[in-house]
Amino acid sequence: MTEQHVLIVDDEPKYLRLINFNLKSDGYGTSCVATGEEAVAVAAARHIDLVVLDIMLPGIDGFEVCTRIREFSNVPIIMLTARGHDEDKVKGLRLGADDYVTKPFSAQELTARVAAVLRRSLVSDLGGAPPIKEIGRLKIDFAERRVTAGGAEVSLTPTEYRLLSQLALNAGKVVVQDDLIEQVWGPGYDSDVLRVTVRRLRQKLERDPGDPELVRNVPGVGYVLGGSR
Amino acid sequence: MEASEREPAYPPSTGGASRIAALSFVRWPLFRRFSGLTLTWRFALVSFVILLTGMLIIGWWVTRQIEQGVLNRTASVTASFVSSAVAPLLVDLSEGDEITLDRMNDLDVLLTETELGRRVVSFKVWSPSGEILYSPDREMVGRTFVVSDHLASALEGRTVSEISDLSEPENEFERSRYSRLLETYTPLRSLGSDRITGAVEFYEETAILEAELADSKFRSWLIVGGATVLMYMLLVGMVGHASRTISWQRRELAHAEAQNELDRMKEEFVSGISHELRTPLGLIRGYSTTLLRQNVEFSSETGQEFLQVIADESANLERMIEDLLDTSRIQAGTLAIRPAAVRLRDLLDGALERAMPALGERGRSVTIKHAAEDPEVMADRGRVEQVMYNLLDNSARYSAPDTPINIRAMLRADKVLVEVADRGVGIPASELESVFEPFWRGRSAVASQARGTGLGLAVSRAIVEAQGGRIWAQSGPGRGTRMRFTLPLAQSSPISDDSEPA
Repeated sequence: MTEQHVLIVDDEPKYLRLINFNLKSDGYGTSCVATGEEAVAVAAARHIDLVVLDIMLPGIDGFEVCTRIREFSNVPIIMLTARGHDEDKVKGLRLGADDYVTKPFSAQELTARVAAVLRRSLVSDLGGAPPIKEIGRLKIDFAERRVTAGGAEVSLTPTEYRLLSQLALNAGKVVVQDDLIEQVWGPGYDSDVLRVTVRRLRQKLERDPGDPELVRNVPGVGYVLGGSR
Repeated sequence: MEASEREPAYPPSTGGASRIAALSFVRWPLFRRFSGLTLTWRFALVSFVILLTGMLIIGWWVTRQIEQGVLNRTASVTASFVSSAVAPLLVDLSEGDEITLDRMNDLDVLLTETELGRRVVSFKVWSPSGEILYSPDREMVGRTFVVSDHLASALEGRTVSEISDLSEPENEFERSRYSRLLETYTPLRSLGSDRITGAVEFYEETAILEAELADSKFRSWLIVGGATVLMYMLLVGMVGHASRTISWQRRELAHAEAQNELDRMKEEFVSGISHELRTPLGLIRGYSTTLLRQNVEFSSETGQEFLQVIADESANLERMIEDLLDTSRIQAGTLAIRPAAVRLRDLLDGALERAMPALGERGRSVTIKHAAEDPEVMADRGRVEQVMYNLLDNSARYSAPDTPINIRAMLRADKVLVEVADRGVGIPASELESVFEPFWRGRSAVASQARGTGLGLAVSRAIVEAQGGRIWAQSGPGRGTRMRFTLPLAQSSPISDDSEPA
């Protein structure tokens, strides 16, 4: 497998050094930048497999960086947030980040999270499912990892794709919320990540995101893809 | 002292006050006193004046009405009586006629021997032209006087009366016997027709009348006065109560707002602190857990490097916590300063050494120029080292690594001046004082990204001032910064080159 390349963005040099050392020790290639502008530039200039992004940056902040990168790439993004600032976490997720790590973190937490997010974006553990699935106006090509809605191709981040896949595998059947979270992110996450990602998915797939036909909520239980009303 | 300082905080009335000011511009000092009073007192004063004026006006009007009423009542009764007694005797009197002597004698009899005499002490008969046709005093008969208003009214058909002091020339006779009489004019009509042929003027004694009047007036004044006082007390009471309630509510509101503000500041303080403390904590956690990783190779340089970070950040954390504690000690007034006599040179050298971690990287150039006189100062050594650390740390942080930092000490009369100068980004003139405020982080981009709690200078100021000194900044944007503070000389320190301990 070719080396995966991670872009690290933090304005505190000691953090850059810390994260860089750990990721390099795990065999990733790295690029380190200290400002948001540089981060966007590097993400646009070369192939990146993952971005580790600090929220608190001078100049343009982490949220802005996330938004700008999402304009041209679905590269997975992990935010570095401060503990106790849940609103940052939700805001980041809304803007397209895939996951988050709160400071202070241990080396183990960081490396585990990086590995998990990268795994998510690569592995398609669908085993035995037909390569192409059509639900209403939605068409998912699992082999090519291509999704179209109403004929138009839709660009999804790895997390969104993974969530959609889970729902698609169980198309027409309700998937329990906790199961969904565990499948896509892992244990120990609260429902915020799910809620925000569903919202993003609806924005991209539905004709009317406010009145969804495809990704439907079953109150108190979970979500279902398609199915009758 | 400003009169308004005595007022409890309440918004100054603009319109009313300025109107009053306009009216009282002559009596400026009085106005100042007035505007210094509370709402209740102002209201009491103003309403007192208004009610007093009102009371006087109403009382005067009421008594006048009563007086008029009594007079009219008395007069009209007597008038009809007189007319019925006098008129028959003069029934054939035409305009221009004179009354015969016989008739006059008959009229005299009316006065002395009839009921009329008991009511009336005298009467005259007037012709329409102002000539006296009859009077008990025969000398008045035939004389003509200017037709007075009352006489004219009577000649037009109205009965009018008043209490007279008999000062008019026609009252010669009456004046000789009385000082005041009730004068009434009533028209004389020829019997059977309404043609007015003259007027009768009659006089009544006033004593009883006046007594009755005085009694009525007294009673009406009493009622009006009493009602006014009652109303006044009620109004003032109500306003006083309302005013007290407003004051109380305002105090409560201010208190609540102050409390909210305090809570908000505490909230901000706590979240600001948490944020600052998290960076060294995060680095300590990150680097220590990294070193604990199992399948990783650490070269000894890397190991050293990481351990150094842990050590430095621990020290940073400790310093931040101390700054925080010092800040709360300052607020509680318990910051402990224990000055002792110490050689300035030793003090500064020690401070510089202690500050090395803040300056350490890449061997920053720091020069120190001691005071030639080698004085002794009265200072808490540890605390002054803390101040120097803060100043040097700031200079290091806010200036380029390749620019020098210069420390100078100078003797000035009864104190020592220490200066820490850098060639960094500088402080804008408008912020030279603000930088000493707790949590002040400055407005520039550089300042806001610099680490630290923003407490260093606030604590430094508290320390310097507790030792009887001053600390201030001289700077300009892009022109570097010179931080200066003073230390008092140790009392027994002679100002000479060979200083000896006391």
